[in-house]
Amino acid sequence: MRKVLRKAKRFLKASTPILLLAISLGYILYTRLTGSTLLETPSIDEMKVYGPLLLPLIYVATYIARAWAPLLFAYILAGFINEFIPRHVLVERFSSTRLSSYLLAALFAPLLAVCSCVMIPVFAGLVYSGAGIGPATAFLFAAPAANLIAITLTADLVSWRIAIARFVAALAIATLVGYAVARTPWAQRLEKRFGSRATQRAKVVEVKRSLCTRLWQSFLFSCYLAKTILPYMLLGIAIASYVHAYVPPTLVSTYLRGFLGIVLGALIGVPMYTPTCVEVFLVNALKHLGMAPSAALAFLIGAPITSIPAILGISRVVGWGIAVLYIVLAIVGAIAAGILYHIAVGSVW
Amino acid sequence: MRKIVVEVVGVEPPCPRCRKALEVVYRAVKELGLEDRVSVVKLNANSQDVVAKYGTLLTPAIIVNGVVRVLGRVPDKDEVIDILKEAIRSEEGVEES
Repeated sequence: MRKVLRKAKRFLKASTPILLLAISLGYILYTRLTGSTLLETPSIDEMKVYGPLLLPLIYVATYIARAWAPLLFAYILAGFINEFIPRHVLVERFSSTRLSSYLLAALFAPLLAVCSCVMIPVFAGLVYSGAGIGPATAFLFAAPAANLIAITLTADLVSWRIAIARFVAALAIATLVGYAVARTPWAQRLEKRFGSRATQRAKVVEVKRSLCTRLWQSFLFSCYLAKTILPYMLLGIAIASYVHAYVPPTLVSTYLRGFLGIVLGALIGVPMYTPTCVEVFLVNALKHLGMAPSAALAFLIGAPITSIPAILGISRVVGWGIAVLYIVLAIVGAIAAGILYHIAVGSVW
Repeated sequence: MRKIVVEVVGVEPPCPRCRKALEVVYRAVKELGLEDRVSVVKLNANSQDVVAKYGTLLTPAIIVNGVVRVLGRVPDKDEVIDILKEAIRSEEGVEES
């Protein structure tokens, strides 16, 4: 009897993530195909009536009602990736100075590092192992800029065009920034210093685990991610509610449009620490206030990368020269992406 | 009897997952009653020596007697118990021969 119970419990545990993935995917498809949401969401003017104390609460609740499915989907998917993709094999492919490893590093970074606290260790590890600073830098750039959860949210809340543009631009800029950084004398000095050390490649001898265990572990990782990211995200949404309700639209449409808008969009991320995904909610609020899509794109690419804690972390590994160069190139890249979007797509979201 | 060395690689200051991995290892050691046969060592993932020696780019990692057994994830207690039992078996095999 006890054996049967234990088996049932294991089965239930293993099916939890699959079930949640199916539910969230089903809901996303349902709302996309029928064009209807199950819940009516109030407009910002309706929410403002409740006053500045209740406003953030209602705003957050509205977002949860609207975006729970893509969020759930992204978290569960991140869990699966963490458990089932042999990430160390991928990371080892970055360890060369060929162009293909730049592209690989940029392309797989969003899959490897769903949580920002993973990025600096991987970056440091790649640099220390003499792998070449180029791919390591490309990885460091692409991980937050093309973050899986953030891209899903961008597509769902802001627009799919911006989401695609964000993803493609992040990959392109990551490769270019990596390439440029690797050509500097600072980088070559570092490579010489670490390249002479013989580095062991990780040989992993894993214990065989059942599929049920692995599914449950992937779900535990999803929970861990949610636990680390969600509080900051909710706080960020609450702050976005004030921006949405109280920043005068004339201010946004004066400064966040045209070329000035793109430059400001790329720059405001520097003094502001935007936790993962919060940039999406901020952009969504500013969108309603009249921000241009090209400025939004510049902000979405620049903000997650150019925060002061990130710069400090990088400089500790590779020194100030490369850290500053990296940030400057990131900002230039974000501006270029905004301008290109403006030329190619114009003011369509 | 030789000691079994379990090294847990994590970032410094420790992130929640690395702390969890260390905790799981301690719990497994305690459950097997191997406190005096196993020494648990914490290593910093951002140290050049650690990366050069084991190539561990993902954290947390668990290394038993110099072999990387877990990389980039938090194992559950049963898995660590299996790993420790295996290590003991191979140690005893070496001693017999």
